[in-house]
Amino acid sequence: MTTHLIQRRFPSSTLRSSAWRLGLHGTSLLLPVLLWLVVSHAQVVDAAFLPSPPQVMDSLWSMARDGILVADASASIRRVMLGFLVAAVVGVPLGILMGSFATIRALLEPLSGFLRYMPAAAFTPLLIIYLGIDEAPKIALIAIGTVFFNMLMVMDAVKFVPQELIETTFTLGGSQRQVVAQVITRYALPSIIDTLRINMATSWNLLVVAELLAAEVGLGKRIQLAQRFFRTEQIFADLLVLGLIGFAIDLTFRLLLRLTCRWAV
Amino acid sequence: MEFNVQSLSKTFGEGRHARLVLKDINFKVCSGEFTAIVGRSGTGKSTLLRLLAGLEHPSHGVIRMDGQPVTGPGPDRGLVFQNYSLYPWLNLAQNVAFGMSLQGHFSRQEIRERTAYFLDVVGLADRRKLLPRECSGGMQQRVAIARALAAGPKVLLLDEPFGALDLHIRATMQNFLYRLWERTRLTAILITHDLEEALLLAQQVHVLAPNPGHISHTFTTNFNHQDLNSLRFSSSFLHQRQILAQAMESIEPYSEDMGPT
Repeated sequence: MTTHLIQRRFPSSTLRSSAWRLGLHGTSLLLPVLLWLVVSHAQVVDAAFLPSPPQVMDSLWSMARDGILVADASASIRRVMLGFLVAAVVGVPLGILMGSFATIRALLEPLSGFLRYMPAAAFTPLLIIYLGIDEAPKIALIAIGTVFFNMLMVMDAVKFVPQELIETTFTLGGSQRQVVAQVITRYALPSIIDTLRINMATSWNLLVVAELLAAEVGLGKRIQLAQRFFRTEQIFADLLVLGLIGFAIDLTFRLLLRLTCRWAV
Repeated sequence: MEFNVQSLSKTFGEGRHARLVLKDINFKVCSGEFTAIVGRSGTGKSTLLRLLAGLEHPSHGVIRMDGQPVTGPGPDRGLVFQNYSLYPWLNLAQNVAFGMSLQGHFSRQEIRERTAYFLDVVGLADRRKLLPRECSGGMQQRVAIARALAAGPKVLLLDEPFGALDLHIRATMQNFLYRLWERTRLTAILITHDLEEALLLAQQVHVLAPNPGHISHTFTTNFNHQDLNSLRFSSSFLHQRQILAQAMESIEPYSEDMGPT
């Protein structure tokens, strides 16, 4: 949706060709890799600080071979997904209700606005005391850090549902419940999917903090361990994996938007 | 069916900020009648229609349908806004069907038949699969009218329905709406600032005067509607139009600095 905005503000005739666009996308990814290759090959920086791409690939391959990579990635993905799911299941309906009903909004907006500014990471000690050191506090941390953003952003999206569309629905015989479920939610759906896509990044950000809590596996945990043993190539490898997973999820959300809301894209 | 507006007043705000928008409005619309309410901007004509729809509550007075006071919006009063307000995620046929499916008492068969019928009435049967954004303003407004009618209202409320359309399309749509009225004998209340539109479509024309909004004149028309395009230029029509224009001029001389509302 943001790219549409940019196109409208500064239209580019060449960007209409998809080959040209693909080329630009490729450049934005390949150029840094090229730079990385050159800098590490010229040995401007000590290889211990800046491992070369082949070193990182080797590290990635050995972690994949030993099964560490799959174990780490699946543990991390599971944590993020569960925390994110809780934040979505709680946050989206509450956001819709807050946007639709002035009373619910008056009740919840100050609270969520206030809690949103408390760094989720600061809840960690409390979560350990309450929930122990297993998966529960990690998932809770991710959920807490994401849910208030979901609520407030979905609430804002609901504000953009045209009043006339709601009033028309009432005059067609719709009940309040039908208006919320079939008109407000449906109209806001593209923005809700976009909100989830954006806040998925927040969930991933919290993962590394969450894995500070006595985790045994996980991409964030692996990075911390690598730091302890000064294995920078492993840190690079895990960062790459984190980026790739995030990118894949982002694309999935964009695809979902295209599939469910053809009218809005 | 009888639609009865009795000593209706509407005040916005309270105390020192109270602003009387409509004062002592009285009129009656009988079954099958087309009534128009004309007024310039700022006369409270949209507020009046919102009151009739039940989207606002009267400060004084009462609106009755068949003796029952109007307390809120409902499917017995269909509403068409200036900006079409179609559901952008539904195609034209689904838009028309939506109201019926909300109400729950139409069978699937009925919904299908009524959707097909009303899409045909507005001449869009072959465009039923299009999304609203793929349609022109005139097409969208015809769908909005079909959707309102399909929901089975006793009266159709139209708020400047053709105000957003180009001039020549507006004339086409006015002709369309008149023929639709002839065919279905729907009861309708039209809000407009366009005198020609009011005279062409309605049998009863109320003039709404401002500060606060009240009905200053009421005209009854009786034209031969056989050829609508000739009617617009017939001497009797132009004469009536002049009388109506003079009535409006007498209550509120036109001035350039009249701001938008």
